[in-house]
Amino acid sequence: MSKQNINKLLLDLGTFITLLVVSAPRFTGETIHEWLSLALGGAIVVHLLLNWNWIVEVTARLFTKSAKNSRLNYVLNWALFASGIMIMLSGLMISKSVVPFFGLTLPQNMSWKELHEVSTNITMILMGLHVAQHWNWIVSMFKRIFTPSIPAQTASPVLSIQRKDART
Amino acid sequence: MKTILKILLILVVAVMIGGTFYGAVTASSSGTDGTILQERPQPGDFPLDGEFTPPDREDFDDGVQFPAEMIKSLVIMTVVATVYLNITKYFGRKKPAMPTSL
Repeated sequence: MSKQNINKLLLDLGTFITLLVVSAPRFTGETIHEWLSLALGGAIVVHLLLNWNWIVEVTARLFTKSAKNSRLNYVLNWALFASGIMIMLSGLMISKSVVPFFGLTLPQNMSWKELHEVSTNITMILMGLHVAQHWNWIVSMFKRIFTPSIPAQTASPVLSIQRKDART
Repeated sequence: MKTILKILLILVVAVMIGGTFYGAVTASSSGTDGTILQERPQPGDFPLDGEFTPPDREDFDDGVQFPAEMIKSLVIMTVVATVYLNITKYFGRKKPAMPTSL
């Protein structure tokens, strides 16, 4: 198992758990909710950097026949990115800790709060789809972590799928 | 250097999407009723002695509460993922593992 795959798995696991934690502001308190959400934004940037090659490959081949299988995944990822930005933007607009910390005052509009809740629900649905799309990879990674005795022959298909996927 | 350019590209795209959302929201708000836009409430604007709490000033800092929202999020994701996996399984479309896109 490559070091990059382990890094990806750890980052994704941490991001997923953080997403769950920040989705409960009454549990964390508002200040932690806001600062942790900002940190989550940073984790998402790192996630995109780690998967940059896939993004570039699929963007270049988006309208070709070979990208048929990746197209839905690509559109879903864009939708997830957009809804994540909507959460961040609406969250900053109703912020009571982060924005005042920087000495800024934003005009308040009550519709931001509603949008924050709506975009959170949309993101949870899209995240469910995102996890489902990658379920095979997640399961195979965990299997290989917890059963390190898997011989190289059975471990190799995941890597071959990875390369194949980059082309499709 | 390459990484910095990638980060800048991600941020530029994020700002463009965010700017579009911002424009759409402010345009629709000011278009329907100009009085919706108002200054952020300051401490002391509202009595906080428990008699009245405006809807936008819900107090989230009452101490740690049961993480019901977290469970709700987890349930939403689990249901959506389960439905998706079963649908793809039913139609026989085996989704390949995509480690590079996760």
